[in-house]
Amino acid sequence: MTGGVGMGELQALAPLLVVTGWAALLLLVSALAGGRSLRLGPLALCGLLLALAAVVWDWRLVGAGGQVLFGGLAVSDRFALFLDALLLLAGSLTVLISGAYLDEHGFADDAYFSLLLLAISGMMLLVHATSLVMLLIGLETMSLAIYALVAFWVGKATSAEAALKYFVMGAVASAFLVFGVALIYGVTGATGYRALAEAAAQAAGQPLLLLGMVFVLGALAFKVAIVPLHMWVPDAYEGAPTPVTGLMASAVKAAGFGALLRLLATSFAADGLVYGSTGWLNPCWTLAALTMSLGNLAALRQPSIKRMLAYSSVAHAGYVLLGVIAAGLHPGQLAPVLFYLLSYAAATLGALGVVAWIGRREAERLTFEDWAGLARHHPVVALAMTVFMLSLAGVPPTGGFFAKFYLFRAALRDPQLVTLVVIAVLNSVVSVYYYLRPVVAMYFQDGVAQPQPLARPGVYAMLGLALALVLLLGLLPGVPLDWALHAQLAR
Amino acid sequence: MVPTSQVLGLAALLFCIGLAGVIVRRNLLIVMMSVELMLNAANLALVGFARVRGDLEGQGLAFLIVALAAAEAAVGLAIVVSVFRSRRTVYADEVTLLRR
Amino acid sequence: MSSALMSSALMSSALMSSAMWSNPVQWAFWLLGGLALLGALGTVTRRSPVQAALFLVLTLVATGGLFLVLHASFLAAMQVLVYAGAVMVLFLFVVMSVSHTEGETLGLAQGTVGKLIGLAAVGVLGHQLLRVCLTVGDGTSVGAALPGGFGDVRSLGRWIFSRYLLPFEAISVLLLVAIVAAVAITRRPPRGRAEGEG
Repeated sequence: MTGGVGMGELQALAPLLVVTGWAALLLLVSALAGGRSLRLGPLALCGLLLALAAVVWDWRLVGAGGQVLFGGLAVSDRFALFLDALLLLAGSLTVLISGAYLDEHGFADDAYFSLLLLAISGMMLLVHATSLVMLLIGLETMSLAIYALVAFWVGKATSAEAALKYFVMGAVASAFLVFGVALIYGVTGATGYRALAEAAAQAAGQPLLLLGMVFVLGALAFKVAIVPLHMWVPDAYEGAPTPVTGLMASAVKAAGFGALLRLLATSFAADGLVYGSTGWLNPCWTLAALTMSLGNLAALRQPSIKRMLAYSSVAHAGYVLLGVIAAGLHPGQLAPVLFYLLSYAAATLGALGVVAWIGRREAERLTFEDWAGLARHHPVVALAMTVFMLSLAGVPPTGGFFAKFYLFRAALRDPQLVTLVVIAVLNSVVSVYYYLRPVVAMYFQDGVAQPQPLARPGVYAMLGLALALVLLLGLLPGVPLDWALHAQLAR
Repeated sequence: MVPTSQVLGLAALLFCIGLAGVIVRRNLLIVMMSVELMLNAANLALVGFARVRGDLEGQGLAFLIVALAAAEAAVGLAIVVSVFRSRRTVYADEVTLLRR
Repeated sequence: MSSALMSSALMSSALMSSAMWSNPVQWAFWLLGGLALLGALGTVTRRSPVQAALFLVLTLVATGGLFLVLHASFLAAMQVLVYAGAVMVLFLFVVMSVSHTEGETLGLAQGTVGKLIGLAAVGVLGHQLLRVCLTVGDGTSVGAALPGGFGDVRSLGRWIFSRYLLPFEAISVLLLVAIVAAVAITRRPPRGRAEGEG
């Protein structure tokens, strides 16, 4: 491929192009409005739905084998398209709840929705990337937009400070990523995953390559919050506007894990890079065990529900990492981890949606006492929150149960992962305790005052959709599972 | 003719100095500058490798990374300004409370 | 401490092993490299952000010179123009507008103990990194024959607009994100809050 862009390549990247173009359109509309504050939420939602249609169109177009684009810089395969759909779904739910939230907390600004769309386009670039260059740019586009969204709550000190800490650590992670890319390029002379796979297999065990891999994988681990690199999570999740927290827990995680999985399964899949004292299997194994255990232990002790959900996202990163390891060892079996990401995204978006719903301008109501007696005044939302919590804990008949069951069962086929699965099951049992805390507060404790939540149609639509998704994934998992089973990496 | 190891060693040293700066310094702006140092070190390594391999890809990457670093600096500095501003706001609030 | 000593020992052995001191390119490399190191040390040790920024400019310009030594003439020009020029002006602008009101504001590592642990971690990492980097390539020097015009505007431009077209376009989206983000973050607090204060 030297110069010129084929129409087919643009078609295969249509979802990404639609989202990026729509973000520019939103900017243009708000510029033409000349300072009047518009409600751009519905327009942003249209763009996301249009992109979702493009995903469906592309799903047929690229076929089972996927389509390699731009000389191997990017790819459009069903793995990436499945994650695209997940990202767009998470984005749509976030947009639905954002309008009311922004109004309520008084920081409505039209750049919000453009940034949200740009963040999603960065994530989509990340999951379509098949070269270290595109990985770098996708990750950075996503990160810069997310930093801005975390800091969006102008005038609220915790928001700016959370964004600052997140930014500094994230910038260091990016610097490590760039240095790692430089080292890998230096050893192998390749940045495309396919060329890298061959060159890295030959160079396996070289210290310079090893350092490069550690830096690159470490930077990705930072983004998805694997344990020693998770310290930014509670502050950033708590300081961010709640809809943005939901986007970070669902979409950023899905995109980061998607990129990580593709990198491990295509570039670093040679035996010399996986096994042995310099392979990624053993460190990833240990980190997965640490991530789920420490995430759960920390979540047990949180006084604030938003912080508890932040640590719960760390714990879930551990479970997903288990799935990523299993899928990295057996690149044909991607469905369990994809299904898990979808189910976790739905449940955590729903739970954070309820957090956004209950918080008002004067009080965010994040402690368990604030939630006491909620079931008496708002039985339907309390029931929805219960379902979200049960799904996060992995209790039937929710999507979370089926996702965990399916993930663990798939991992059990590999004898190296049996102990890790046992640790994960024990952790799931422990996690039931803290997921039930808000439920107990809502149903069995008496509230002091009747809470006045944020009763707006967008909020209820978002909660309803998330609830429907969680129940659908638990009761009728056939259809989404079928899609996940068709999602394969391009070879 | 410069040996590869020396270019890489210099890049590694610059990278570590930048990292130490991020960890130790408490002045926000200097922390940001230290991050720039780290990115600059990575660029030096890339250009060095491009020279060794006689391959332009390393330089192309370095070119993109200069743009990436500029974008990162812009957002980082905006966050710093916002933090300073919000702290001043907090301080102003306290002053108003005291006056009452 | 021992790791630092070992690193410096490795460094000096690498220096000794290169019997190419008569070469002017080698001299230019070490002069510029020394300046870059000096600038880096100055950046992280100066108390005043203005001085730190000026030291950083020194490092960036010296790196630009190193790019010239390494046959990256276009990047050298861009390094000076964009990095040492535009980005550092942005830095100095922010330094001038905020640093007089507040000084020490952020510590990733809290307290002296935290800083020492952090520094020790950097020392270990740096030692490993240097050990690996200095023993790389078993003597292959940066001196392979290059095609004419390697790294000039024409060759790099051709590369970027053919092979790297997609990343180049993606970078433009990244810059758009940076602009929108910077404008959105630094906007004034909304009216509702100001009324509440007034």
